[in-house]
Amino acid sequence: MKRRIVLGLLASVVIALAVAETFAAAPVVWPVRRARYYDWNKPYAHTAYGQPVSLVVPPTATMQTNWGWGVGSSRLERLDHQFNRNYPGGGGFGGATRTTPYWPSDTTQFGVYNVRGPW
Amino acid sequence: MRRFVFTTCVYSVLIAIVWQLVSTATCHADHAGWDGKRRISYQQQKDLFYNYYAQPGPFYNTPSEMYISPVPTPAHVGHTYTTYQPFMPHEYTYRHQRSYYTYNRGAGWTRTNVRYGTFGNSLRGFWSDWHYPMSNNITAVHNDFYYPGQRW
Repeated sequence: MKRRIVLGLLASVVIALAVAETFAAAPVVWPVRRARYYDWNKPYAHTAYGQPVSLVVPPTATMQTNWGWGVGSSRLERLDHQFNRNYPGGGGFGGATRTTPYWPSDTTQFGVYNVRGPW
Repeated sequence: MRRFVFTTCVYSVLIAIVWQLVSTATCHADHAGWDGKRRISYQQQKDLFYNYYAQPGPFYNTPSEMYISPVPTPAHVGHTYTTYQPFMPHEYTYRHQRSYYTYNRGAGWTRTNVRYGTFGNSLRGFWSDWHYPMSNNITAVHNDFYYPGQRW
């Protein structure tokens, strides 16, 4: 009886450890996970290219600064998105993009967005 | 007794499953991400003309590819290729080192070690910032006299 209890306890501890190990990830993986839930771009097209343009930054970068008019519009943001080797597929992409306003009020309105280069 | 054998079997199966999970998880943890230095490159020779992509997001659904970014240069060139992985421009954007291992049939393995960094660049910045004093208290040489418009 006692042995069964001990074995059961041992098994549950091992299972708990495994679950923790499976769902935990190293901090370097966090930005990759966060990047799945939002876009690398905002819906503004670069004036010269007609599409949002990605700017390759070092993969060691973690934060980016964007400026805007008004109180609290300049902010320090996470830089989660990173180029990888997965081919996104043939087509059917893209939505409506806006052009840069004549009087831009934010640096994201220029249509250039930072994306970290691959490791 | 039979029951104990059964529970032991169940436990061993559970532990096997768990071990499988744990080993795959640690394997992923070893290979994903960045610990400041990548010792072995996973790029293959056949990956040479492959591209890198930013994945389309959930809202605007726009992918992006890294090469050629943003357009071919000069404009009349259809495409440009980097024919040697260590010379790819994105490798120069941060300090790291890397080894490429390639197996050639009949010739064995080759190894290429690459280091990227700004060798002595900080010192150059230091010397470019340094200015000798153009005047002192003893000889009243004024900068504006000899170098109008410049202030040190």
